Amino acid sequence: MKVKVNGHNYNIEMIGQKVRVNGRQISVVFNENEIMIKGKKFHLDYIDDAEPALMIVNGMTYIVSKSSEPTESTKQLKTPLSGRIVDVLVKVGDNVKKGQTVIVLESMKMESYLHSPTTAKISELMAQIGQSVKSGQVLVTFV
Amino acid sequence: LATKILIANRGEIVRRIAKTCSKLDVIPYCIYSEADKNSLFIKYCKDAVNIGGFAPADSYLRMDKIINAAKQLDCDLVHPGYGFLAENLEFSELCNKEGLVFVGPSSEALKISGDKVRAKQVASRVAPVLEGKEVSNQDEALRAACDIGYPVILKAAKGGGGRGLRVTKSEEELSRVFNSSKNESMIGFGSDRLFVERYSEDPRHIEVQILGDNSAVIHLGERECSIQRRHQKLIEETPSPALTIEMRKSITETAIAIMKEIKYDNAGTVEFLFKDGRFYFMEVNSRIQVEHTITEEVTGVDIVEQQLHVATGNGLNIKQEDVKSKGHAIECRINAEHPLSFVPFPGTVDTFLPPEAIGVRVDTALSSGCTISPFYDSLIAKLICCGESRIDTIESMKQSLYSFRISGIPSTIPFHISALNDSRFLEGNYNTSFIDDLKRYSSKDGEIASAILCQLPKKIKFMKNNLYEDPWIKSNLSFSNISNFSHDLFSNSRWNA
Repeated sequence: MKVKVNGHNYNIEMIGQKVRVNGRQISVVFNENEIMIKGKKFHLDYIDDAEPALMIVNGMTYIVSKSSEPTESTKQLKTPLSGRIVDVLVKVGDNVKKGQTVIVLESMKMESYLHSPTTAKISELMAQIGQSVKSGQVLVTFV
Repeated sequence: LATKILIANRGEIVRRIAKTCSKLDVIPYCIYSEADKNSLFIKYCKDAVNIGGFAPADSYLRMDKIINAAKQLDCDLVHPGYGFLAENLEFSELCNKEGLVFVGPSSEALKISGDKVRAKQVASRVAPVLEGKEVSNQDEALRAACDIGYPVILKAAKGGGGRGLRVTKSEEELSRVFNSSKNESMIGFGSDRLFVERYSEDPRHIEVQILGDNSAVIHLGERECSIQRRHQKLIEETPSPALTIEMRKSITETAIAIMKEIKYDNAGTVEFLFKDGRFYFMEVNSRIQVEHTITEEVTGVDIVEQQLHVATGNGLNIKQEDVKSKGHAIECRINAEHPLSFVPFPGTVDTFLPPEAIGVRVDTALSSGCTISPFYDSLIAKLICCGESRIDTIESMKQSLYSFRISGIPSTIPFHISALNDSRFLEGNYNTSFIDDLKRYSSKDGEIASAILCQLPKKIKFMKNNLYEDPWIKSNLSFSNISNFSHDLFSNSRWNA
């Protein structure tokens, strides 16, 4: 198995309970969110279910991925955060470019821009000005 | 009869103000929105009124509801905190009309200091300013920008906290952002007046803390606030590593001269841009500021206490010669945000364990199990460290960051750790572009992180995160700058052993 951490690949071998990273055995003992490695204690502060995932250990950031080739969904645009839609800059049938701003969202007193994940035609638009949306909600689908 | 005060704000600043009130025999009361009904800050006040609503426009910006709450609770004073109505002239006048004392500058002073355009006009009599013009529509903005020359910055006349600000390098860009700046200004400050100003690239932001009453204006030294993202401060320190003794004397004297012109009579801050040894007046912040804490740590002056003395007509109880600065202080603003993209991240906090040590202050109204709502700003804690020297203070801050446990939501702690380990910060040689070149990741812990990832117990709780659906965030995970980050897990583990 291969994993990717902060842009670098690592080879993982798992033999029973033992784990080797690039040929080096590293044993990790968990107790709730506490981690013991080589007699030192660390804290797993945060890990999420995204791909790649954000992992925070002792306040340090690691972008981690179990598959070294992350798949991306480019058929939909989901809002990454909850908030209120203040502007919709496209309409159904529009051709948009990857990275183009399509929706403006207001959350935590700030405007955030949602960008198209792909260069494609918009097939459905599920966003209206003034509408409140939850994180993960699909706002745009592409052909 | 004891004085009663209504703190018309939310979060950590309510707790901060309540703390001084208790010391002075002033009884603190507060308001809260429907979204905040389980928030901890309410518990630091004697009583509170639910004013309903979720979004600021339906809650903390509702003057009528706030005035009613103050009357219902039989309060004599209203402290607006920062943000919301803190610099709102209409609100301060309404308080006065309703027989309530507004804890802030007089309406006459606020008329000038709370309006960026007017403040600049007055300040220009005694201080250098950047060229600029008020504009009412896009055409006027384009014409003004053409006269001034690009890049220009678009600002809200009534603005603050970085909202409504847009830097533009061309006509196309200015046309594109004009309306969103106008909207943001209207949403945030209830006014869509904008002005265009010459933009100075990569300056430092240095501000001077002022205290004034109707007979004197004094200063409490400066704060270096150059580490910002989206024009919002993330790290502040005092004294500024950029100023020589002569420059410090000059900038503080200029700040006093400006505030005397305005006849400013409460706690306030004069903000300057500082570049190539010269400073330019930018704006006055007519309120207590988020970062007032570091000034308190080095001077020992309780700024909220002085605000209350001035507001109640007793005047400042300190003179300039009483103010003696000692040592160094740094504040890190811990926000509920993705540490790389700074996208706000509302959610529920599992564990919240701030560090405890001598010289470490944590201003927060959060505890384990609290929920951070999407309606208000993302500040969850202010971590303040002070020490004899700058180097001692940086070391204390690093250790405090490593041992600050926040789980359940991501926070900006990783950002602060990267910043405090950056050579530019260590040398004190940084400006507002600091974050652009910051190395955010460690390349040293890859094997350890891989091992952790592969041995995660099944019962570990994964947080829901759809952030990477946004290609903008994806593009920011380019890992182009991971090489020189010198820091690793094992070097920060000693406090946790």
